[in-house]
Amino acid sequence: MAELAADTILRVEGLKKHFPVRRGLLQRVVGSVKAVDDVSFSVQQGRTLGLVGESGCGKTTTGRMILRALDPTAGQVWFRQSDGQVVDMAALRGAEIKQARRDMQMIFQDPYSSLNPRMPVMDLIAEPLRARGWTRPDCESRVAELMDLVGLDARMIRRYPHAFSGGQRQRIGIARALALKPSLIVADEPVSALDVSVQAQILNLLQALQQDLGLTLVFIAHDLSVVRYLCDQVAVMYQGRIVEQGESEALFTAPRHPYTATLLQAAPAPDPHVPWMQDIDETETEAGDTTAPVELVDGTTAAGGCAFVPRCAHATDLCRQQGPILMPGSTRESQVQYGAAHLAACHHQDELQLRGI
Amino acid sequence: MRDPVTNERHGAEPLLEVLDLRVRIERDTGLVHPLNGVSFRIQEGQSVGIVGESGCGKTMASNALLRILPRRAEITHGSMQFRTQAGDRIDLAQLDPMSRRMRQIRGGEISMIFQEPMTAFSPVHTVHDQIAEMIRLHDPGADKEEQHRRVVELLDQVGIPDPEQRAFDYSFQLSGGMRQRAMIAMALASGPRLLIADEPTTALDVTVQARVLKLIERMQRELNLALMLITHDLGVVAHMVSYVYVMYLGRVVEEGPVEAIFDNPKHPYTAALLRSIPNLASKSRRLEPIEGNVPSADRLPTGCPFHTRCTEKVGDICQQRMPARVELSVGHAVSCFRYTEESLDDG
Amino acid sequence: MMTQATPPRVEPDAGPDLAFASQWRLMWLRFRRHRLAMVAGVVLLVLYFGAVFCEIIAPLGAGQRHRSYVLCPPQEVRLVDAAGDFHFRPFLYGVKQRGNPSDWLREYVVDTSVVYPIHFFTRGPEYEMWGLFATNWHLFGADEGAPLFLFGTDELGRDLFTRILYGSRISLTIGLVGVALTFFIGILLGGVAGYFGGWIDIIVQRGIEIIMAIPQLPLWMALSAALPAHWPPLHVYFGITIILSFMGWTGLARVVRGKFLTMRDEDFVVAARLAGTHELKIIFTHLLPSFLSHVITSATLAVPGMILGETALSFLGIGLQDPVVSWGVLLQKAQNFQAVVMAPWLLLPGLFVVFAVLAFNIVGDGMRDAADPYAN
Repeated sequence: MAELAADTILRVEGLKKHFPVRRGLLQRVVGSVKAVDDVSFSVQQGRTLGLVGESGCGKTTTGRMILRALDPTAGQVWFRQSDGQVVDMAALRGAEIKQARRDMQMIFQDPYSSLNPRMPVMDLIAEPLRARGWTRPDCESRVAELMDLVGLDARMIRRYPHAFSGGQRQRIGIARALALKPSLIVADEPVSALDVSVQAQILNLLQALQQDLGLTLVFIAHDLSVVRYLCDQVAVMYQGRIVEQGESEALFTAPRHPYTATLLQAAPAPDPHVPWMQDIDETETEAGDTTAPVELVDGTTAAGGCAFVPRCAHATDLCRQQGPILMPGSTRESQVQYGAAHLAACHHQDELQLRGI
Repeated sequence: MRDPVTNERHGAEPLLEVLDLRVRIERDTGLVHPLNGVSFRIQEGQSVGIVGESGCGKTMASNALLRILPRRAEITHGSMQFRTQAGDRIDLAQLDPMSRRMRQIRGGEISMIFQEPMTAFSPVHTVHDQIAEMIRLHDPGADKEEQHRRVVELLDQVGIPDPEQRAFDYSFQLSGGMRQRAMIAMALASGPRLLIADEPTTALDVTVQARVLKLIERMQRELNLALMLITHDLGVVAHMVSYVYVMYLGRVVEEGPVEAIFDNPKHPYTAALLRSIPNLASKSRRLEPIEGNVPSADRLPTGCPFHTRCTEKVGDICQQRMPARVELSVGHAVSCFRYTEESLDDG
Repeated sequence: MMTQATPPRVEPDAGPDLAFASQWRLMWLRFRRHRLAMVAGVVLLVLYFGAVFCEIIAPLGAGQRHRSYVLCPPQEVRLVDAAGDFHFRPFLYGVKQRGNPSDWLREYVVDTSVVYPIHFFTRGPEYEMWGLFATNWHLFGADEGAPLFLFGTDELGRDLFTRILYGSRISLTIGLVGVALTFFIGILLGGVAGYFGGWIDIIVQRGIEIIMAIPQLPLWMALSAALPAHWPPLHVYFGITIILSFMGWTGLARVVRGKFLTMRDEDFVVAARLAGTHELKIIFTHLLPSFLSHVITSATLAVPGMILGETALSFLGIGLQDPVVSWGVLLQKAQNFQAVVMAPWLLLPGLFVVFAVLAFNIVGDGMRDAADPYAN
């Protein structure tokens, strides 16, 4: 299906990224790490999708594949360019990729490693412009404009990154991403590395920019409170798959997947009166506690079954034998609420009464 | 007896009392004062939170306490009175950092866990050996059998499954959460009375963090351990400690019981900080950022350190003089000129 | 906000100097704080100055033999005469030989009755400045027949000071030329290996390891022996340089490869790709400047190896030879134990080698310390 719905700007279909595992002197492939395993979602023009999950869930990999900063192993990334043409980012080659990239850009997590410390601000922000043949004087005025837009003093244009604080550097990164007036921005944990009081500045900036410029935002984060603040829709990822997806409010108030409920319970709210971890037994061991993507050697474990079984308090035999599909439940609430379906990959999503926030 | 504010049971004297601590560091650009007169106290068995953002000096404070400051840093003023197991009070600031007494206390009576468990463990020794070493250092009498028994017991206590086997793993073979638990086990090996946890869960996933924090809470309860939790995460502070010290640029700007700090913050910084963080539990209200940046430590503002970003300044006095600490109510104190006149009324 | 029709120039603000400091300036500022490195840097400048202007600074000719002053010890330039009087113009006393001139045992005695004043900016033996034009100006000199031998003479009566100066030209520049070659090969191969990875990387790496495993000196000797004997000195010079570079590039290539590997996936490189910058431009504007400081440091530390290499080869007689003058060639004369005992000043070229090598090492160390832009 090459068509995108009229109001949809991005549709990801069956996206996969498998990293081969090599062993031995001749580096033979013995298996693969499925960092992203069959991810599909779509985003409408002007809206914000939050991709959340813990380390190793594949959210960053997915984000990079959308931009083709990483080549997918399989799947399609349908994107509507500014000229209206719809392309599959995953299938483009060479110069076409560069062409498509003028309409989609990325904001990185680390404000220190995402800016070349040896280039002054002017050159950093102007890079996308220079790559497309802009002249120096034109660049300079556009860069000044962009700096104003993101709240930086344009007179600092000749300074080097080391003269700026973390929050300011992140603004420089945002200015750079906006240089070519993209319609889609993938923000990879843009506030995680910033001080708490500075995070709000950047979040508000992103929100304002989105509204003023009509940007579509794919916001990758692990902090649910930030996602709730900024995003209309949320997709929760676990071990390379989306386990729940839907409108923010629906997802947070009435989660349909045990993992989402676990995440909501685990994050302590900055308010001593809000209960925390009420029904989670701390002595439970961490079978699912991974700090690296799951390694599956072909032919052995996890042949079927839901990946969350080891950590799920509600797992049944069905869960162990059959992998669930991401789909809306059969209750009315899950069909279409707040404008989009609420999907969950859980056999028992209709029966479970999970606690939200 | 129970303290009416903190509801903690404690003896008359605090376990640790730090008074007007000042630390100075020599940088290439000149002298810098990361700690500019910090005071706090911890009772036996009490959990205290030190909250602040980068540059506030919270890590410097814990390093000063254990006398592990970096080479070009030194304590220039202040005392750190610690009540030892034996009952006498020593000023840690006066001890030679390399002296036997200090080494007994460091890792012995006062233990510390860090943010990055990977670097806390030696990659070429098994977890067992490292914990056993801790046991040996602080209990020379324990023989190999005893050491082994205690290592397994500790690993079990911290919730590591299959402790007999896992003890002989290397730190890189354990997952992040397991490593942190092992680090806690190592810290508890010597039977400390005070545990300093410096951003212990910042590098962990939220679900793992929850478990590790619950573990620390349980250990604290079972061992009557005092906890000094240093973090920038207000969510963690809200649920882990009973008393909070809020730091900014080397000073304590506000201190009080955790409910008072969150429900009724008095210092403009505390209030602004709470207004600027997203709260999952409340409906999306507008975040109010604190404008500006944290001033760099080598160019400290004159007067109150927060005045450059404060929206509730009283007047010129805010940038001329350092506000004194004012007790607003029992246990709740603030350093701000807004309260020097009206302190009693606001109580 | 800029709302004019023509793109206006943005006036940069007047912030603290450091804010505008590029990586080079930051490096220089940090380097300046290293007293020792600064001193070593000055030493190097002096040595190279001497090498560039050796014809003018040297009072005599490099091949000029003074038959009556064979193996003459270093002569003192004096300001105070035998009677204790001070003179503004420095001078030398004459020197006479005692004993049989054809004898090995030779003794030189100062003769205070003969005075040779030293003149500055004077005429002396003719030479070709940098091989371009003939002239005979010298920085300082004395009259014909004066024993102006600051470092003594060799067994053919040639002034050692002059020869050391002329020799510095060869010894010090072989280091630079050699390093330049090393630079080029090392960056090319190391960069290609690190950037593209895969089998290119494997081949280059194994190649490096094989070359590094060969014992240096025997390899040099073998290659040097392979140089045709009838070659003119200049060709031999370049031949030696190439031989020395042949082994030197490996260390640099490894460093470059490592840097490329780590930097390839840095966020700012990904950002550059996403911005649409061409791969080649990424290499030159993002990757290269990032490790240039490290490369220059490595190169600086590699020069001593080259200098010592040339010295060793020539000392062993398989590098440069008479009439070409280099410190190694000069040291060849010092192989004779008897000569060394009788005329220890013949070892002075070795001292210069030591100075040069030490200075390069200290400067390289200083640069290495200064190179990290985020060091506190």
